[in-house]
Amino acid sequence: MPKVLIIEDDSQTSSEISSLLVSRGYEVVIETDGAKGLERALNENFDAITLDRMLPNLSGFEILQRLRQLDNNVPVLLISALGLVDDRVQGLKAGGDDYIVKPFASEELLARVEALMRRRNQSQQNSVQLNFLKYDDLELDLLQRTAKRGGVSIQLMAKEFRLLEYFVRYSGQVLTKKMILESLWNLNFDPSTNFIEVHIARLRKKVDTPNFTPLIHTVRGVGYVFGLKPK
Amino acid sequence: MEEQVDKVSFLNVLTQINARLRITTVRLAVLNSFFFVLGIWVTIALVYWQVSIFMEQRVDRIIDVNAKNFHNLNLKEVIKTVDESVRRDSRKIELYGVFTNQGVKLSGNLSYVPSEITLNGETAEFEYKETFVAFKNHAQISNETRIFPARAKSFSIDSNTVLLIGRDVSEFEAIRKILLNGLIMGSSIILTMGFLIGISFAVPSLRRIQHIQRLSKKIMLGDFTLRLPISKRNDEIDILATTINSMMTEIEELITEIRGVSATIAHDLRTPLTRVRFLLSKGILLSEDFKLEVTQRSLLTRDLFIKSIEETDQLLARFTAILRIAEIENHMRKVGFKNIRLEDVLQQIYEMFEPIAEDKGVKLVLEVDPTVPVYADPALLLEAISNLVDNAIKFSPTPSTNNSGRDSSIDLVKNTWENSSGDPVFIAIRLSTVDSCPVIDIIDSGIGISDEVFNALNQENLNAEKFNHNDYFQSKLESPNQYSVNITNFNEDNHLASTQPIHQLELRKGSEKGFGLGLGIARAIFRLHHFKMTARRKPKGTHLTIFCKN
Repeated sequence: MPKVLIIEDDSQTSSEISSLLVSRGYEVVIETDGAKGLERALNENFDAITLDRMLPNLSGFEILQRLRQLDNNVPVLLISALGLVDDRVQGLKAGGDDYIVKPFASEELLARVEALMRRRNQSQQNSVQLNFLKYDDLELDLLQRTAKRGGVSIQLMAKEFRLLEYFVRYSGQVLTKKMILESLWNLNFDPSTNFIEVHIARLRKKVDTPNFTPLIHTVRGVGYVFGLKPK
Repeated sequence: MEEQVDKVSFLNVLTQINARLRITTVRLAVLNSFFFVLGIWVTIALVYWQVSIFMEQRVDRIIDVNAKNFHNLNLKEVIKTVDESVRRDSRKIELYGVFTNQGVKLSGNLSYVPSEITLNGETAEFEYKETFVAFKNHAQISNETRIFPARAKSFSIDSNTVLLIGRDVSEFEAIRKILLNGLIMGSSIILTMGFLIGISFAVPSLRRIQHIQRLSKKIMLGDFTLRLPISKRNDEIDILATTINSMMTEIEELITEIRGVSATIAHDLRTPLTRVRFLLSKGILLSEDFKLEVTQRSLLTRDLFIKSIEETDQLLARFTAILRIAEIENHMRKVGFKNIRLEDVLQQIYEMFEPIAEDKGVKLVLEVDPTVPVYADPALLLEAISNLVDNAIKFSPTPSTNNSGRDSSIDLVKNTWENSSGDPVFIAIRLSTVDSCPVIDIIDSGIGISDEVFNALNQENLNAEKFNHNDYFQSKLESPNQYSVNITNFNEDNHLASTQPIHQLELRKGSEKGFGLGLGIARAIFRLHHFKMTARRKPKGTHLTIFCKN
């Protein structure tokens, strides 16, 4: 059972995050104090940490810096009310793996925690960079930037290829629109148009042709999941 | 008590004098006078030194000439000549003395042999002490002594007697005194004058500074409309005052903006918050309404929750946009700035939004004439222009199903921007060069911008115009027809009613007009780059122009 440490001084927020993760089968430990949180993070093994930026005794940044200084590479999701671009950049530079701004949807938090763990597992399993990605009958050549489904090549634009690669890497996991926007387009604003939907629809038309089993699935109100059997 | 008052007023006077002395003008004047006096001292010292040498040599020559008269004379003849010379010297400046080797005086007006004189040696200077009897009404009163400087040398007359020939050099001392007195008097006058001139210059400056001080205090108390006085002299105080006044204008604008933002937050964020609160209260009432069936009740409650979440999301979006604008406007770091090609940024935007436009049935056109590189932050420019294009797509009317935008033809040359049914369904992004300035045009056929936003945007640029005199910008405003786009209804007579920042106005505009918060963000980014954005209205849609000259 994956174990997550929640370092959050607001009891209501921490209990919400906790019940969310527990409902997904995670084991959860809560710390409300920065110094104690750091001690716990150093003394026990966790699969991920959700870390609030503003904490009593020791700030989230300080905890993060100490952890990284001591070569502790546990994935950390920074949670903050400070959502400016500079704050995000600062958080990621300090060693955070992802950054989520309050208030957030519960699905968004779950998706990000799962993505963090997935990334960790992948990097542990594949220390060597793969040149090929394969999912069922879909094959991606990362060097040639070409894709094939059932042996037939698919003509993809550069951005479409990157989107598909992102989906394959996180197959089976819910990816929110925000996560896709941040990872693929590096956009600091939410387009008011149906930006993501249109790009996904284009990709779908090319990948999920009528002859093949659909791989890109919509998770209503949240985002998308890639795979044969959506959760 | 009175003594105490006197002491206090005396201290006040001292403090004021001290304050005046510390004024730069006074200091400079006194320092100037001091160096002037020093220069005079050095000059006079040199003159004195030269004159002294000249006079000494002259006296020594006279002594030598006098000595020649005594050559080859015996003692008796010497005494006779000495007596004659003393008698003849009416000015009493020549000195003679005939002495035995033991120092006993035989003749002359010298009464002793000064210790400084060596026999047959060089001429030496010494202080001669003369004692004489002072008479008053022919009665002897007392013995008096006169000390004066003299120069003399000695010669042997025979083996037993010595002749001393010298000269009184009191004149030297007199000249020395005249020079010294002149120096002291001159220096005092120059220093006093310098001080007085300094004070006379300093007093008006001090008065102006005191005036500025008084105004500054009023400004500190919150009157940001005040400005420092500027004289016609254009001196250093005027230069400083001009700089401070410009700074005050900036501060005043910022404060107005902050006040405006606070008012906007209060006005525009409270309204949706009230709606959320209303929806939630309604939810409570609904959950207690047992007249309704359980299923119906839960469905209605669910709807209320969804509406509440939508309202809060909208609130958050507004809040995020306001913060982002503030972040960009405060973002004075230019880390991401470099020379970039605008065509690359526009190409990227085109690839991002072309599918979105197409999906909406709107034709997105990109026309690029390569321009000179500009110094910009590509990520920020991407954000700004993306926002504008995103808004343009959002507020473009969806074409009717019979006449999809995908089939509409846009002829840039013939200036026909409408499809066969007359529905405008395009967004054009164009990059060109006008008067060596790269210009980006974003022309859409959407619902247009509100009067407030239009006025605020153009007012800002007109204000900038007053300061910068950018001819190219003015010419663009005056000759909108130079484009292939037919721009009519360019509302030059528009009353520029508002100077409020755009992002405040946008929050109020509601949904009847286009361009959301993105315009505020874009404007902030362009302002950081010192780019200018103007808006023009077309019969249908908006024409935004960005002048990319830093």
